[in-house]
Amino acid sequence: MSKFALAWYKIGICWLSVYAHFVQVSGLGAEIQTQFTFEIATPLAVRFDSSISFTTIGECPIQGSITTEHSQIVQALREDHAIDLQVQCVLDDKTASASRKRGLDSLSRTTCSLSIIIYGSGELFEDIGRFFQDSGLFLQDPRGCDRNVRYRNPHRLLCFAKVLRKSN
Amino acid sequence: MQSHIEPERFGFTEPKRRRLLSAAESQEARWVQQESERQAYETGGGTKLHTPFQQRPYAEEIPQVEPGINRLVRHLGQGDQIDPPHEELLVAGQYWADTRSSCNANSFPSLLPDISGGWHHSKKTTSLTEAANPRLEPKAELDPAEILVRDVDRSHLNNPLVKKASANDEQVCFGMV
Repeated sequence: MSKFALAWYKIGICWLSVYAHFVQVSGLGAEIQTQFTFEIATPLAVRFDSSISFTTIGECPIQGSITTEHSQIVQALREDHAIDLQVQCVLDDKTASASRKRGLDSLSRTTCSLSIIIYGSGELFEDIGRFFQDSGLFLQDPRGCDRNVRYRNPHRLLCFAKVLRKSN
Repeated sequence: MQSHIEPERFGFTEPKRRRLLSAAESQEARWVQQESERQAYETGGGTKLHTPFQQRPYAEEIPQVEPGINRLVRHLGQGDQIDPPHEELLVAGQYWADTRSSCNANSFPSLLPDISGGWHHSKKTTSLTEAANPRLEPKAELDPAEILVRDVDRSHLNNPLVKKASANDEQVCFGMV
């Protein structure tokens, strides 16, 4: 990427930070109400500000909000200090491309999804599984982990042999 | 034990054939007597044996032992000096003799010839199943507790920012929602 393009990229991100103050998460998906013309490299690292809002981690922070549908889950996760959360925001490609067609002056709603990777003590294995099951969410294989630790998914059947063979 | 020696085939003379038959029959008679004594002793109906009972060897279990013992006896009988390989053989033979009485249908000492013509022994008692399949080992099963994130998440392998953690870390990844 040339310096010119990089400069415009940063400007675009800053535009996004200015205008994208409403990000709604629906079903761990997101809807960004913003205006930008540059494709954002995703996933974006995100931290929760509260149970209903979050901010991306980077030079130009983007703030977003979480729908009430999942705010209670986020609140419960944030209040439990025994677990560590790694949150990522991934923009939906179709929405992003549609937004890019619009001009800088028009606000657009861009959806994205929040991925939350849960880390914690192994003693919480059963509790974590029960909590998400009661919440109607099921833990998936993580992607984009920022640490390499043991992986114990309470919702995953023990068919790791196939996974390992496939990954190798 | 019935003799299957055929005089015509092997050219044995009649006296020699009779001696062989007699020896075989007397050996069989000793085994039968020992077996009856052992059973009587085990059931409590007999008197204690004067000599330690030596169980009849299972021919299918120790086919490789007898030649070694015979060879050792042959060497010793001829006054040969016992060099290290033979000493090892002596140890193996002694071990076999010590454990012979404890042989049963399920276990026997491992005693295998080595490539140098001698014998090596293992004090590990090997089951018949293992002996029949010496290469048979339990199938390696994946321990779920040893599966790391990198085994399912290959996206960050080349990311230098990823924290390096080992399987000994207490933290566990429960997955992603």
